[in-house]
Amino acid sequence: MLHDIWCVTWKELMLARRNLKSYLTSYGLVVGLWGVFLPASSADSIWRGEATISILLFAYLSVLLGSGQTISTFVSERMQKTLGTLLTTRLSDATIYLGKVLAVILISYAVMLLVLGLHLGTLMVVGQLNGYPLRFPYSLLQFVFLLVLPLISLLYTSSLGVYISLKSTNIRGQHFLNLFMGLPVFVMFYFVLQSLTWETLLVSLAVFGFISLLITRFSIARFNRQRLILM
Amino acid sequence: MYAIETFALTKQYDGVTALSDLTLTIKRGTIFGFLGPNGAGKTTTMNLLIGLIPPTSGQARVLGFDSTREADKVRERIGALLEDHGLYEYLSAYDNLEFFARINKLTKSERAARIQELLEKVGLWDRRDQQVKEWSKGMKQKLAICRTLLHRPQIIFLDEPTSGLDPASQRMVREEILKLKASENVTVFLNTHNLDEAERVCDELAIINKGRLITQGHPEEIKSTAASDGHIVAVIDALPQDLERHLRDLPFVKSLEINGHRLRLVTDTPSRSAEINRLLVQHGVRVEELRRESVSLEEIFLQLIEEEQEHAS
Repeated sequence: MLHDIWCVTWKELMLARRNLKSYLTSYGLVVGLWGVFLPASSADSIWRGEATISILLFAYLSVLLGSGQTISTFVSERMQKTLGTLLTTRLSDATIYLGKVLAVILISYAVMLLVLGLHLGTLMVVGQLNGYPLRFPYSLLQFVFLLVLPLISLLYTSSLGVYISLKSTNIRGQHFLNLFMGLPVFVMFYFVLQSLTWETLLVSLAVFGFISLLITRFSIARFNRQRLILM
Repeated sequence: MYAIETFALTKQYDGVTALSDLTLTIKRGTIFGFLGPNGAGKTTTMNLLIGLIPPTSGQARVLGFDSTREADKVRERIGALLEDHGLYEYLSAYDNLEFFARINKLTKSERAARIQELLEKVGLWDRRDQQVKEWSKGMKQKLAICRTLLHRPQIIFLDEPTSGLDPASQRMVREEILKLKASENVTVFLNTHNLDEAERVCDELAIINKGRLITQGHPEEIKSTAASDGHIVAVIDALPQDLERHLRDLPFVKSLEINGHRLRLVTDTPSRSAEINRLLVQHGVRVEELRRESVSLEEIFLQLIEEEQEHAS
């Protein structure tokens, strides 16, 4: 099964590589905004320890990236009429689904790490220029939050995105629904950040992880050949 | 063992019957043409055989496996080209085949050898690194056929493989199907509404309309069984005034077309040439040519569809 999942992921990664120009265009703005503009404009408050909004916006980026990549991975396969052929192969429905979700997570997370690197670099540079001492701008707890919660958020976004895509008839409708599905994540991130401790982080990870797995389970059940071939 | 067997296979969508009581058998190693107008139930049949949708009733067995309960075993052993070529336009030809070869668990060396072998066979090896989106529709169809053959399947399903292609590309794809069938020793299930293609390529045909099987057999067998009418062409030196009336009055003449000195008659049976010849001679006409015209598959197809519709109404 792992071989089959990786096959599908490999294809998605190859498509992303071959389609690099379009990726750079669509992600260029996100990288510039989240990686440079936001940290540069809020550097002072972050260095003074008021990092909640910055972390919140950064974490929310996972929803935006995840939903965009889900559309590109799942909906475009339907639109380009390649899904039918994939369904005639020996791959099971679940492996096709999981391979695609893994690709969504890998590609989106790679972009997030790139943005995070830029974000931290920008903060350091602006901090030095404004005379703040040279140190890491976030606490370890905040940094773990930045690294781990978005990863689960990507699983949530892609699973819910697929669920929605199976109901949505066009890409515009899908985008619209995706924006709304990000709201609960935004609210949850906000409350976790308000009282961020190792305990709240672990509890939120467990709860969010469980919900995301549940949605993944539902999505896999809906993602079946008999339904997909008639869409 | 047959490559494909169906027993009273029926499929309904929301109460509408797309396929009704289809019972047929297909021998291994044949090119089987499944012929019918648009909406006849050809794609539904293919989807049922591949196990993509379950039947409402009846059963299909592909290579001995039940296409509903053992669909995964069926899909391991077949290749399919649906109505759309299903290629990833942004991937190169090589990567498209590489992906499907990986899916079918070919080892790295097997993949490389097989991809080269197939691309060379269809003359696309030199263009393997080009993105498929740059290619013509005919080239894409050839590549898609290669994709179906990658894992040496025992049956390939082709759904209208020449649809939307110009005549030259249609011919090219047809020739590739014949060449590949011969070299790969594979059974081909070919959905088509292209009668010329069916006649040229297929060893055996089935004609379907409105979800019902009308006839099945070798193309010539279908033609001889279905062609109850005779088609006679006569070329004469002159056309006396009363000849046309006399010909039309003959009880066995169903229709008469006159084009200059060329007569085309449809008679109740094919063996009326002698009687026609006698009548022409009686009228003092010199007969330059008199022959029985063979009936095309297209005429038989239209005749069968018409009869089926009359029967249904």
